[in-house]
Amino acid sequence: MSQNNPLFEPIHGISLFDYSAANAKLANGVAVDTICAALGVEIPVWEDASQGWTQRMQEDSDFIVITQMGTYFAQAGEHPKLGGLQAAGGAGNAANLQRLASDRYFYEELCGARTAAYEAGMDGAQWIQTNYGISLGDFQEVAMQWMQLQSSLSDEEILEYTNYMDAKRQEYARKFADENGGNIADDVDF
Amino acid sequence: MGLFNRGQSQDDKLQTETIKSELAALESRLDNFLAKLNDRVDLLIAGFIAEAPAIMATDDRFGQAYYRFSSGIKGQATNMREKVREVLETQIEPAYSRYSDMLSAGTDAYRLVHDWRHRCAEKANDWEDQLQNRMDAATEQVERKDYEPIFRDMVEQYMQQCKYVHCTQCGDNLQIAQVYYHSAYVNCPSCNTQNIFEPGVIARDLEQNARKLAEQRSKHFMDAHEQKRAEEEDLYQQMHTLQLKMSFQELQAKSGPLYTQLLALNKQRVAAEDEIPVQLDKYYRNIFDELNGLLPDLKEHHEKFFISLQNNYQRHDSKRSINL
Repeated sequence: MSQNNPLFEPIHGISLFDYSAANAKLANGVAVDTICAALGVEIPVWEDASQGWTQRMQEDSDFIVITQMGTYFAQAGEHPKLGGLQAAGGAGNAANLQRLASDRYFYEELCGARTAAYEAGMDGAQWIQTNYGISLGDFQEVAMQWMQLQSSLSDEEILEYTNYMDAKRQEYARKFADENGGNIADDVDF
Repeated sequence: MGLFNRGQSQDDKLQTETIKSELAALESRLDNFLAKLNDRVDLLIAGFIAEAPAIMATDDRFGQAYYRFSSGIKGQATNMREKVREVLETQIEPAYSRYSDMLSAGTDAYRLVHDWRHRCAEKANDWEDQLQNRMDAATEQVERKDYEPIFRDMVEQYMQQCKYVHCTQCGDNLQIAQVYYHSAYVNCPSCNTQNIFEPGVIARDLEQNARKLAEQRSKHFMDAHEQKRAEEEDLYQQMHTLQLKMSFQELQAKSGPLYTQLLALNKQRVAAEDEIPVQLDKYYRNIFDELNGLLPDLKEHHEKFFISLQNNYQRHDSKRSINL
């Protein structure tokens, strides 16, 4: 990323790191007023800058801005002004969050479970929050951290994680179906 | 192994008949299985179409209840798709492997097993394609909205609301006449106090609905693009079928009535293929022309957005490699 690239010019003094970390915090339930106070701006300035960053990403055919936004999103906890902000509900289950960030198989299991929950008609993100105390914002921040490492994995490793996640998805799909009276074609056999 | 036998022995004929009978029974079970699943697909889609409107009518601004409902419906389709895949993997493929390993290539029995496996796979693939087409059609039907009155009403409501916005300092009307897509500073025309104007949910959703309206007005170009894509695919399949009928000598010589027919088909195919990116370009250009008319204050951004999108879809534009 070139620091001289005009695509990365701050908008009303709000940098891409500010914008990305703020969105991570907003996804975690931190109020926009709190974000603005921490950044030292009023809401109209923040919202105009937000619109500006969204437009930059739409106008960038090489996906440079959105790729860097993903990296910064994963580093939200390190932002000097926003890193320490927490939602009113508290920090969630720190032990599970720590495990999510360090145990790839646990992360893939919860990805599979979340997908299975949505496919069962539930709110998958809420299911993760209720059962593991991990908010959607924290989950996505960890997801971006794992994605940063993806390019360093071999094809075999990527395939293993993909297969593991899909096996867990099927396992949870069966569990959710059993809890909800089964699937529409459970009694159709070959 | 009978590699050099001319004609089948009695034992070979008996073995072929036994294999044929077993495979026919498996294929019949597959047909019945797919037919029973289709009955469930009928129920699933009927339920989806019947229940979706009530859910959408009482949904929140972001459509979360409908999203959960439609995700559940698609999950049921996925479950059925996985059942079909499992049958192929545990019933069809093992039978194919067992017989193809013991039979000599080129024998009637080997061809029988090979054709059977191909036929079963085609039936499963066709079933999946039909499932996907039916799900797509049902989703399109359920989600269909006419954005002309929706967008028009949104603009009217917003402008109506703006008539009653007053200065926090002197109380005079702020005389807001433009669209604000998010909160903004507005100076009072009377006392020049800087007010923070919150435009409300309608204005915040205006850009997204303008995009949907622009896509609706451009749909005929997307239909033409997809029609050309289907036409090219169909012509390619006709060419493939024709090539399978031609002898090696005909293909090598590049002459003869079938080869002439092949060239004619390819000419039509190339004409359709050339139109595919042209229609796609017309689709996106029309979307942004419409957006410039609906939200003229965003024209500069729209033009840059269009170029960015165009760069991407042109990057992925490719032509078939056909060697005649």
